[in-house]
Amino acid sequence: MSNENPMQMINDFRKRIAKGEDVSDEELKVAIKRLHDFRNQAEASSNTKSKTTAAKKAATPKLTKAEAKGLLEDLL
Amino acid sequence: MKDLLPEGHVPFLFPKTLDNTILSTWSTCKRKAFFAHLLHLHPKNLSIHLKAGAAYAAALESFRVSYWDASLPTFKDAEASMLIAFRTLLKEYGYESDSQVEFEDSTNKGCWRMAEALVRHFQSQFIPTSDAVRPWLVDGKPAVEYSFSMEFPIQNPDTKEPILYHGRFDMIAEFQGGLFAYDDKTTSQLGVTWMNQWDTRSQFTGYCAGSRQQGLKLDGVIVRGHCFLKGDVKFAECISHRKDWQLDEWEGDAHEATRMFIAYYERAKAALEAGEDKFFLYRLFPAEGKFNGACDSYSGCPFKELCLAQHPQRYLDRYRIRVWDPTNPGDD
Repeated sequence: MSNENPMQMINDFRKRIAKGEDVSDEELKVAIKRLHDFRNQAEASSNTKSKTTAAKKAATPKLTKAEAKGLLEDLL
Repeated sequence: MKDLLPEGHVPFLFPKTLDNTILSTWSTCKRKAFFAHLLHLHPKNLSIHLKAGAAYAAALESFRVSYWDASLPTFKDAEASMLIAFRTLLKEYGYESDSQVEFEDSTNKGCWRMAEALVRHFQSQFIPTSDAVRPWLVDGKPAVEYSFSMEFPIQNPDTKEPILYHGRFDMIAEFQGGLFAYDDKTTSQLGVTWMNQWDTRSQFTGYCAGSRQQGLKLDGVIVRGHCFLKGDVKFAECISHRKDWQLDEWEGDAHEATRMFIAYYERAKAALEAGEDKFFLYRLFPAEGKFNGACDSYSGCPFKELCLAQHPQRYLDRYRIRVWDPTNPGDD
């Protein structure tokens, strides 16, 4: 539980509550604290995240015209 | 003739109680009002915006009641009130399936985003001890989920009793010595357009008019926007005043809209009694949304696929019957 991000924690709580299980006040307090602190941490790491995303997009393979034509012929 | 409408449909009657939802729908598009409030059609798939908004509103309300009700052990205990609000959010949002989780997490209104907004609202943005906007206290209890009903000087065409107009808002708030209707609004963007839209909003003028009829003078409305962006939650506040002449004008307009709704209803009722199929009465209600852009406003009209089809009866299996009751909006 201690290493989970807020999204995982909330979804875990929802599943348990839907099953009729108890979620203790202590667990909720940890989630509330983490949600309170989450945005600051997210903002601090936002630059790194956007660079990673950009790099992934650039690495997407693309078909050349000849490859696309060959693929189409195979399909037909 | 085979019944075209979904199972459980109800007699063709004019609504006994109106509210802003019904009258604004009528004023926007007569056909939409026919589908929603005379046939009582409702899309089978509930919008995540509605579900998430309802859960979030319930959580905000539970915090306010817990924190401000002097008879409760959580009175002025922000931590205990937050725990109660948090549990309310989780319970109301619910959990149905793994596929739903995947969908929710990809939207700005996933449960954890709502939880984040709830925490930031009361712990960072509008901290109860310093918030200038406070619930109005009546006998030590906060006036949250305030509702009223007022009679219109118009007879219901079926029962011949006065038409009722019902309003319900998040709370009556005290601010700088005045009383205001208070409403929380979730949104996807804030800015000048968001701020400027409330001065003429019939929903809020109706709140003030209804409260005035009950002897409670409100100065206007306080609207707080809770904005769910992709990577952030932001808040805004708008204070919009209402004068008596505006309330008088609203009453006149609301009565006129009601009379027109009744006139169209009575024409349709006569056609039904003459043998027309109930569903095909839609032809007597103009699709005004196609003229004024309402089909695509907000998240889109739920009846758009009916209006796009030459034979809309083929799509009725995508709808169920749900009678909208202004006095009990949570009843489904």
